[in-house]
Amino acid sequence: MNRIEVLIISNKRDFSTDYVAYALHELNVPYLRIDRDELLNYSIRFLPESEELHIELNGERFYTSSEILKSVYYRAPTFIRTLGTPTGPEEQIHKFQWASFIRNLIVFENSLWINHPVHTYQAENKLYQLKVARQCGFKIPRTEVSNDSAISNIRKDERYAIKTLDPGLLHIGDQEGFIYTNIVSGIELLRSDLRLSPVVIQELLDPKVDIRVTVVRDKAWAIKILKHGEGITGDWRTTKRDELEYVSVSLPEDVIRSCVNLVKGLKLIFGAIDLAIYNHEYYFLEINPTGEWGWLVNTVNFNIHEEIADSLSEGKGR
Amino acid sequence: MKSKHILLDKVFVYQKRQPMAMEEHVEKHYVYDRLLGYWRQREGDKAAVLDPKFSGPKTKKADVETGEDQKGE
Repeated sequence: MNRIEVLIISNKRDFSTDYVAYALHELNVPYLRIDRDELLNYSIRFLPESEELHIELNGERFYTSSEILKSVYYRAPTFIRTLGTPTGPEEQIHKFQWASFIRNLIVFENSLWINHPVHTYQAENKLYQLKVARQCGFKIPRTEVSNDSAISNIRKDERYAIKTLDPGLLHIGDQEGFIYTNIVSGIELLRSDLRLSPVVIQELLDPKVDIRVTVVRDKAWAIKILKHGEGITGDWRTTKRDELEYVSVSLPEDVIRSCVNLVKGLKLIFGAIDLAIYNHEYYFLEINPTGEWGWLVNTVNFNIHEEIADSLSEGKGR
Repeated sequence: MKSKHILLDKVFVYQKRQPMAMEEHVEKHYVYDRLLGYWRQREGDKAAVLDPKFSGPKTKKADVETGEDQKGE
């Protein structure tokens, strides 16, 4: 019987999780990864009274409990945004009951969660992020959210950055659509019928340099994102992959402190923060509590996975 | 006359990625070890992501436009 001190909730195609699992393996920490896309391979038994979890996988037996489990690495969504309907009763039972079981693992409240789904749920709300970011000392772009340009303070001769409140992923027949941050004119906004949904309308920071800060507990790693050595106007994700440059950068102490405090303020352990340098000042754009970071190990050799694995192996006792 | 909602006007539309295509490529060179919890090289227990030849995550821009972290599912 194998004891589990670290539980990983992820899916088989999540390579960032591979870095963490490998680092835990190297540290000789007893862990188990549960892949949400492979759940038929796992046999589980949970006992609420003793808070024990027994798992069988590939003929091997594992167990953990509130007393034993130091931490949970939770790489799973908190908001379910899938618009597609499962095909039949079996798929619906499988999907929704397993999802509930995974959510119910919050019974392990003595464990360190990276991140706790309840806190991720809260932190994913962009207007709440802006509030906490301001409390942590960040400047934020002038922002308003509206579904009616007639009552908003839009000037026709200005340009704005517009974005969605929730990730703008759409299913359009056989295709998909995604809504990036877009630069629009005031005239365009005034002519648009916004009644269908609120939209985030922000002061355009241009020219700017995008900064991605990844925080794990008290540690922060930062890069500048450039194209041909320059900052990128608008949403850098629309730039061709081979034109993007990621450059490791040192941030001023007060900016690092604000980043760390923001992650703590949102009750998170991990956070991927998007900042922009505009007019020599740092602006907060948003934070992603489940943000991607594996690309930073690959491209700029940040040892984020080692810090996550160390935190998981130490649990709350750190 | 008002034009359509500005977010709908700005949607970037693309073909759905076939997730299996990526996996087939990975499976050709590596195996997924459920007990280790990571893709590893066929010989030994070294993680595939540490292999310079592995086409792992190279950008925040995932191969699918899911707002970075597959939030959709």
